[in-house]
Amino acid sequence: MNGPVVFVIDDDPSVSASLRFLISTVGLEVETFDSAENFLRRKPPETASCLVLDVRLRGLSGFDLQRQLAARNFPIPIIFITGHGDIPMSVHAMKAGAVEFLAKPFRDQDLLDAIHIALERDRTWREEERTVKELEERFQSLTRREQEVITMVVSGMLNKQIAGRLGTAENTVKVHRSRAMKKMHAQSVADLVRMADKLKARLQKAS
Amino acid sequence: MLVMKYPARRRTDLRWRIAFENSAIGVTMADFTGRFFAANSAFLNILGYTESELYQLTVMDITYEEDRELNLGLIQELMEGKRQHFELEKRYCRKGGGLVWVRTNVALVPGMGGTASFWFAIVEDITPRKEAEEALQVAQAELARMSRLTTMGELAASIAHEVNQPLTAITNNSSACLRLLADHALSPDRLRRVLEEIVADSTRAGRVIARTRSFLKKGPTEKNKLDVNELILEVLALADRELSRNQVLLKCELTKTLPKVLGDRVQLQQVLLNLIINGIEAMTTVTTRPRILCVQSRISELGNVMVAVCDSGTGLGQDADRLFDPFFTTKANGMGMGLSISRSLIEGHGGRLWATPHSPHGAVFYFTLPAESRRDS
Repeated sequence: MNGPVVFVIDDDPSVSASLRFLISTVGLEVETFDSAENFLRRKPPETASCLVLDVRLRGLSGFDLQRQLAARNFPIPIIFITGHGDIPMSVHAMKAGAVEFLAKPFRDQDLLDAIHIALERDRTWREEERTVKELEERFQSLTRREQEVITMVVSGMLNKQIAGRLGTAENTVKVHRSRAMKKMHAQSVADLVRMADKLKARLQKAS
Repeated sequence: MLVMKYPARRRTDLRWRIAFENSAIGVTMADFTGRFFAANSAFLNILGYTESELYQLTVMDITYEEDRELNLGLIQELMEGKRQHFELEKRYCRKGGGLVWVRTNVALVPGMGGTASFWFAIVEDITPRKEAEEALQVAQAELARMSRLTTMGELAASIAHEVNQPLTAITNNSSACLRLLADHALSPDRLRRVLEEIVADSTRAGRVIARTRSFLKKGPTEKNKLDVNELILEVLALADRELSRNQVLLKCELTKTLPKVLGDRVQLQQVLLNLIINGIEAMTTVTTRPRILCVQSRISELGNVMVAVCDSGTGLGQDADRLFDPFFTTKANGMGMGLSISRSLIEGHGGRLWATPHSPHGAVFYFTLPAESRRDS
């Protein structure tokens, strides 16, 4: 697995090169772009990553890019840098989910700290994504009956009630239930409820 | 013959009478004491009085207080035979309050035979024109202030951005080197490359500043032969509202025979307006002595044209030597660019701008401009 990547988008070649140099001193991989359009042409990264983004660019502005990425459901953490930032501008950026808003020139440590926070945020997000995806796959591997049974378990129904609803014996329900728990890798009903919450959140987000 | 003539004159009188009554311009007559005894309807309309009400009044009764002295002076000259008639723009008080601006043309008609001499006046209502003039002056003053602020604001913002980029690169490169040095991981080769970049970026920042300076000095200027006195009067007209709003007494001491200077009218107006507004602002807190702004023009010892703007304000204080530094300001809403830019503009004209304390209170700002004839020689 590859290490994390920092993407830098700034149309000033000196600034861009100096950022590459600075960020590389802490052992991070850097890729630079001179426009938002060029960044969008790149395929989305597989590893933890973040964006160091100038507000004023030729073509799409930094804020335009932030909106486009959100629309594409590509929530890469963004650190804005700007040569003429004002308070309303930074409030706007932060409200739209930016990690940090730095006025040029900034202290190196401020940028590097922001990058670490951003990468950590992306790592957490990727972790979450992976877990949810795995849960989805497990859920899909259940038989239709098993899915029905554990959906009812999660909603708080007892075995007897489930059997009544499905018109089968309580023992049959118990078998379905223990098989489903095993396939889902759930240790307990509480575990199963947590998993269901995650899946539900994902379903809500998708709709 | 006499019999023939009489009806003809009667007819002429009648024509005059009709013309008098129907004139769109106010016509009136007053006796030697100033009491009205004839007026046409246009004149009555200007004042709002009926004929009988008007005949109870004198010219001075309806003349606005502030205009009376000037009016009396002219009447005096007329009576002394120094002039045949006079024209005056003044204000009348209308019936029931309110002022109206009029242009009056007044003549003294000498007595003949049985009739006593009397005043004859033609009066035109010029209130709309006066209001338009005032509105124009307000608009001009606003425009001057706005353009002063916007050009300087935009200039500062663009300098900030242009200088910020190379500064950011320099800061990043230097910080990165310090980090590598701390880890003993900086090779001489790499250091050399980075130092070269730092030098390039510093040069770039310097170029931005040089460009800004030369823009201020030369810029898109248009140099013409200018009369500095004329320039001063134009700017004072722009500042007029500001002066009266702040209850500042203006003294203008212009030397009549000034040589012309070669310069950019707008730039020099900006400098002068800036100095005058500064002077006015320096006096806003003064309440225990008169607020006097004095603008002088004269020929300096070296034969240059010299302008002095002198105020009775709070003075230069401790900050005298920092006044012309960019971004130095003593004003709550000032940006501190006015004097710095003004000095650049004057230096761009080959002149000098400086300040000295004014005794017992306030400050004097001087600038010189080379006389045009001296430049030729």
